[in-house]
Amino acid sequence: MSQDNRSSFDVFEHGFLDPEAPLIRIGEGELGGKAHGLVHIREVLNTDLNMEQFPGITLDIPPLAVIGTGVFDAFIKENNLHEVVYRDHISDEDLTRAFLESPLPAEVLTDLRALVEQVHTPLAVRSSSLLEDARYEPFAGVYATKMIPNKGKDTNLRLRQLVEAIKFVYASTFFRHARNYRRATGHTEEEESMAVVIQKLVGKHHGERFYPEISGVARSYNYYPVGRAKPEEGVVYLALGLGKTIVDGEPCWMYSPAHPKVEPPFGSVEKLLKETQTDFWVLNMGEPLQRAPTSETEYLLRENLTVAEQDGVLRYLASTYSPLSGRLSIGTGFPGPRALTFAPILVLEEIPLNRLLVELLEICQHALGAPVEIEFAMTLNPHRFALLQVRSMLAPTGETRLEVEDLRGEHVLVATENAMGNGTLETIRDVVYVRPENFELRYSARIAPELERINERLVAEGRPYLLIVLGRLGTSDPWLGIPVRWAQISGACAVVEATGSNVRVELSRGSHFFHNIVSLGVKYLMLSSSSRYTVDWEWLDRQEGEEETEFVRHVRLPNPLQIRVDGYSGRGVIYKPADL
Amino acid sequence: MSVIDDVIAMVQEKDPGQPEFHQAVKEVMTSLKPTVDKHPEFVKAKIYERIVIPDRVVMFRVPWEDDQGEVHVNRGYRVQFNNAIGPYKGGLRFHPSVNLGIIKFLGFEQIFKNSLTTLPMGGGKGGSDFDPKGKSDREVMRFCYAFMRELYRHIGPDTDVPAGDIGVGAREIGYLYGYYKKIVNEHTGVLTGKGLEYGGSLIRPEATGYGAVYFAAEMLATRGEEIAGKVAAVSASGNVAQYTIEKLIQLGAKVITVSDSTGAVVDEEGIDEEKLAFIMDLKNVRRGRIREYAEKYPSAVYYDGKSIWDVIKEQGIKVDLAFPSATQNEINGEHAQALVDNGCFCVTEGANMPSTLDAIKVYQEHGILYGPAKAANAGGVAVSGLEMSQNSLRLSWTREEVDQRLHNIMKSIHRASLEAAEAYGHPGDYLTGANIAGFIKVAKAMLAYGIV
Repeated sequence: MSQDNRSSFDVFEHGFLDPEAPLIRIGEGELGGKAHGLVHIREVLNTDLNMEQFPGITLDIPPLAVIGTGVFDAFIKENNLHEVVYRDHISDEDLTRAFLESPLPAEVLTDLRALVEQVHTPLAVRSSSLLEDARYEPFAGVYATKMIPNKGKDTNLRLRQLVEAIKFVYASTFFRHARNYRRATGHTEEEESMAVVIQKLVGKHHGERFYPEISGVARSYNYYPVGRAKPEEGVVYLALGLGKTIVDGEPCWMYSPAHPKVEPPFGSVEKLLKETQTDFWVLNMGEPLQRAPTSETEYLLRENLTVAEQDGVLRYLASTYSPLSGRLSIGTGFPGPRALTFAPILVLEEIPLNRLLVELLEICQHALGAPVEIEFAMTLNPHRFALLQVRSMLAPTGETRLEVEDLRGEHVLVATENAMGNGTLETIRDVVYVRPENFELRYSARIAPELERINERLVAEGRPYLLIVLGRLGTSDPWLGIPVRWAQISGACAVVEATGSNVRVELSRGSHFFHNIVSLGVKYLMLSSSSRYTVDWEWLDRQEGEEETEFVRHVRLPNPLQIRVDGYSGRGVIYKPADL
Repeated sequence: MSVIDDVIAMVQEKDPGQPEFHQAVKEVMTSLKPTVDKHPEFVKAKIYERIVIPDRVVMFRVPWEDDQGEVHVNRGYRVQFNNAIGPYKGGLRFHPSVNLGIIKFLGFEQIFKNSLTTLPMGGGKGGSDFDPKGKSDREVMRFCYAFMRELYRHIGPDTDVPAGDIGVGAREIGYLYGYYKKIVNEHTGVLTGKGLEYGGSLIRPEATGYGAVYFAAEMLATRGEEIAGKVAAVSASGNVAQYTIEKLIQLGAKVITVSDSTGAVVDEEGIDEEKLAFIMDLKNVRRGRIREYAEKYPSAVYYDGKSIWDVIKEQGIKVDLAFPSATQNEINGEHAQALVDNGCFCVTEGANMPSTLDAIKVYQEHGILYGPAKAANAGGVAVSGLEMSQNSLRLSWTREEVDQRLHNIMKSIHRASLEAAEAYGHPGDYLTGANIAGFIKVAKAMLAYGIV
């Protein structure tokens, strides 16, 4: 056990996860990005953040124990796990099992035993990889996090839970999607090594459930600005319970910190009720439902709003629907179905959370010299804000930057100065488009089932595609565009919403499916009727058709398109394959 | 060329740039062809030409300030289309797509919808290209105030009674009414869709579902049948479906299906009151998936990713009555054939246009009872009318009183549709009957007024 000599914290004489000792290292090696980010930002906040501006809230960064990357390297080497890792077609489950069956280095176990002897509260065991370095690369959500109850008198049992969780996080380094992500971002397997962060889980006990009232993610830059929100104003996601809801892209409350009182664009109270968060994740402090060490959710439970109501946690988080009047009122003063709008905090400003987030984003962005993403959790009464992670939002393999010149030329299929999302897609060969020569708004309701059929086939084949439509996509009014539901176009990883001479309507900007588009990172390019750019329909028509229906055409190109969106300028372009 | 074709051509020529309105006129007018031969007096009085021109169109600017103090300006509209049988009545739509053509299209259709309810309500529609999405509550409030600042002079409880529509829900109605009351200094029934505390009506959530069942009961009665003892399939699990199921249970039917966008449940033992309470809690409070129903009740089978109509087709499930309550085009020709093959003899539409044209053809070919949406789901519009009545009377009826009146209205709609179908040569065809019945009442009133 040693003090992190790169930080200025005095950790001698203190135990594990003690607020007086913000970081304690176990084993040798690097600490990884997550740990570095937190250590760095702790120092910055100590000097730059004045919490007196936010009466009623206390802020802390939960202390960490970090297992250095040396332990990971030794674990892999001593157990010969490289051989397992590179085995062809090994499933994530089998991989995890092999890791779980391999012992951790003995000297680490001594420290871990000391930790569980000292700490008797739930723990979060998170990855802190080298590539995850907070200053340069976002690997958010690529590796696993496991929550464990760490409860009871049986130290051996608690040690076993902790050790299994660490091994699980190690194994996640080699899960399929992690390897794909590294490959896609130009990293080799050898570059990666994993430190593990152990933190006290932020939350409160409610019977046999343990969870924070609020989990959140705030970004200082928003690639999907909805309505009047501007990208540089950032975006905040709030959820009840553990942050898994947000990380997994489940329904949560999304808003611009510059306009905290503006609801996401649901369009009606009924839709709001349907699309806001109804389920939430908690740590199960009771008997585990089953022993499942290969599962990230072994100790987690999914609960619903009825349970939250019983736990008495909705006071600051909910609005209440009156079915008789059809109105939503802020708070829980009346009986009725609850909706997680966070309105008592965001609209009535009963807790100055939004102001704090704005300040934190600004300080962190300044400190890291780049747009940032922070992850946090809050418990209420008293109101305690815990900063869990800080990382840069910079793209991993160079930036996708587009200048006006990049939008012109023969090789451009679609270009726009009005795009949402960020990054480059270079694997898409399938294009599904609405044939402009046959398109009339009065037929738009008939197009939805045609799109659905093609979508079903492409999803089954595992082929994500580019979708090009005319008019407002997802509108309920067929006179404005194609009235599809997201499920009918779920395989589209990029969407072009265009207008035409007989389709001069205001585009939806994805607002009908904003949650899906944001959580799936769909690239969304818009060509309004005033746009100077257009779609090269003739080129599309010249490509060999895979399927043609009355209104829709599907073409499969021999080589992939290049779909690029510059999240900072809002420019987007789709280049035809080089050889066509 | 017939007068109908002439009118369609005239509208296209005189009202350019309004494709939605042209389409509506074409559809409605085409359905009225059977009335032309029978009513030379309508032709002579140019009723067809007159009915496609609004009594009045009001267009106005709506300037308002956002939270940052920036000024915005939107376009406001109120099309007072026809008040032959009662004060103009129709919703306000706040949506960026709103333009004069769309408001005229909606207002034109509203004349016949309202008339069909047999209540004294004329047709109108209004709105603005303001988008409440992405606005704060206070901005919506300021916009509603600004909108009413002009609209108030054109409406009144005996003149024009707007209601909600897309983008205008209970919140907007509250702001609009609050401002009207403030500047006119009158607490009158000038808007419907109001909150219960300030003049709204009971039974509004239930109206469409209950109404559909009442309509079905009337259709069955024409064949000496009744709801009691029948096996019913209901799709969806939202408001309309829940109250359709509730009324069906009350009237003694056995409802065996329920669904949502993720799948369908068949419960051969039937959904009783306790199970319905579970569905209501599941869908309204917890807002979970319908498969939880099958997890709770072992008698139920869940079909993932299927619609009720898929399941009936694939599993050959026998039902007597079908109540499509989900969405447009949920029943296609194959579904309709499967329903008929499995003994279904009555389809009542709670949703808007849930049957495709192919499906309707199957119903008609097999002579089954078919209650089209415009008649069978008129319960919602009817309760708006009942809200007006209560406001005029300065009374708030009990649930039972409103329900009883709704029942009577649905009976009247049924009778009017049936009689019109019979009188104009399409006996038993409720679709044609409903179109014609709505028109005839308005046309007769217009005729009575002379040339005004």
